[in-house]
Formats: sequence, structure tokens, C-alpha cells
Amino acid sequence: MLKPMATKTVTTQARRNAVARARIDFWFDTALLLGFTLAYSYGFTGIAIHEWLGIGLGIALLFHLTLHWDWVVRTSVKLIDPHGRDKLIWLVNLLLLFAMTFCIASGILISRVALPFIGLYPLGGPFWSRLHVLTAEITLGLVPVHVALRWRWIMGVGSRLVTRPRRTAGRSG
Amino acid sequence: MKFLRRFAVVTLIVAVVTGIGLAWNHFDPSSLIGGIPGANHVSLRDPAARKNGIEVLRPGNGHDRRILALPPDASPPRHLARNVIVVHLRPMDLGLNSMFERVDWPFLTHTVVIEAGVMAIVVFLARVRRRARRAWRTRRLASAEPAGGVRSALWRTRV
Repeated sequence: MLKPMATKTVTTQARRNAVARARIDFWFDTALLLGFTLAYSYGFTGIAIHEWLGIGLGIALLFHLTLHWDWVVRTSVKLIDPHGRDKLIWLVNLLLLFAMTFCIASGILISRVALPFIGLYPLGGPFWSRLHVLTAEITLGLVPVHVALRWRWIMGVGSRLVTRPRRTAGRSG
Repeated sequence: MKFLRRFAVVTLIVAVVTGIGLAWNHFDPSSLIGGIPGANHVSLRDPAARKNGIEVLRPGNGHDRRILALPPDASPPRHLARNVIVVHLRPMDLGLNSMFERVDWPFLTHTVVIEAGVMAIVVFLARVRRRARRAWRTRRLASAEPAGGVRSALWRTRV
């Protein structure tokens, strides 16, 4: 059995880990949102940045999904329960997985700059062009829903991240 | 190790979804591209366009201006030159200049406005739903509350 002091240390460490993880999630997700916003604004970025950013987003999304894999498994198991929560978020996330995967895959297949630069010449074609445009529009609708359904978490972590440095600065000063 | 295992699973799922897209393209592409008029058809059907290495980057709907990507120093054929925006492709020209031109900012603001609008609607609906649920729960507890006594006080503290 752990002594009270040891228990307290473990709890503090776990708490610190949770705070660090929340901070990573917050900044990583913010970067993803900004990246997607820029990548969608094709006329603003130009084709080369659009394509490289899209490829980067694809890799980042794999990490995003991996970091939240616990949630995916937990929520998928709870789907059977009629009182289970997060069903709407689960559905939105599933649609987003399909839309973003199709969007990025079709974007790679119609690449004009990024892939030719590394010596690959994708086949392209009207199907992939159309799929890219369609899924990009669906993704633009789903991404803000995905973000907004977690607005309480975002506000909580965001306000903590903003207020904590101020407090520290106040103490040191 | 745990992270790598999960990463592999996630990659596999993404590969399966991509496979579904490939299968869709293989078996039933017309369900998606059946009726699009405009830009894509130009690049596919027009031999002059193909011969000159012209690619249409953004499919139009027959009314929008088309964007044509050309090899450096090439110009579009005369019959395709009307109502198009020509982009000369260079492999690693990131086009950073476009970000600093005021004329290109509306593309970004347009995206931001759509995202902010959808977020605002979802947050508003979530708050309304939350408030309604809270009110319903309060009413239910109030109706189940026995009259007077210690138990009543306990019910009140729960609410």
C-alpha cells in the first residue's frame, strides 16, 4: 500500500502529465485548424503551398488520430449503450475521417507541383478533381462542427493556458 | 511502442478509406463526375489543350473563370484564352507573394467567415440544448420532491 506522501507525489505527477498532454493537444489542434484554413484558401496560398500544406496535414492528421485513439475506442464501445454520450461527435468525426482522407488522397493524385517535384507524376483525372473539390467543401463544413462540439474543453484549456503564465509572471514580479 | 502500434492501426484505417475511394473510381466513377460541365471537360476533350500541356486546376461550372496551369513561358491557345486565369507552374515556386497581395486576402477571409459562422451556430445550439436539459432536469426533480422535511432540503441541495 502506498504511503500518503507517495500517493500525493503520484497524483501530482499524473496531474502534471495530464496538464502537459492537454497543452500539447490544444496547440497541435490549433495548428491543425490554422493549417486547414490556409490550405482551403487556395487562392490565397497559391498551388505549391496548398499542396505541401495538404501533404503535411495528412501526416498531422494521422498523429491527431493516434493521440486521440483512446477516445475513439472508448466512444465506439459506448455506442451500443442507449444512454452513451458523444454519439453525435463520433458520427461527425467518422464523416470527417472519410472526407479528409478522400480530400487528401485525391489532392495527392491530382498534384501538379509537390509530387512532380519529388519525381512522381500522378495520374489525376476528372474523378479525383471532382472528389477533391467536393470533399474539401464537406470538410470545410465539418471541421468547425468538430471544433465547436468541443468548445467547453477548448475554452477551459485555452483560458488556463492564457491565465497561468500571467499568474506566474505576477508571482515572479 | 504503444504509440507506434496505434499509429499503425490508424494508418491502416486511413489506407482502407483510401482503398474505398480507389474502388469507387474503378467501379463507378460516373456517379461522381457524370454531369459536370466545364473546365475538366476542356482539358480532357480538347486535343489542343492536351498538346500544349494545359491542365485545369479548378473545375468551373461553366460560368466561373477557369484557372489554367501552363508550363513556364507557354501561352494558352487562342480559343481557350478567353475568360481564363493563367498560372505558370514552376516546381518550387511557393507563390508566397500571393499572400501579401490584398486582392488575395478575400480567399482567406471567406474561409474564416464560413468556419466562424458554423462554429457560432453549433455553440449556440449546444448552449440552448444544455439549458433546456438543465431546465427539464430541474423541473423533474422539483416534481418528484416530497413535501417538506429534511428530505426536501436534500433534494434542493441536489438541484
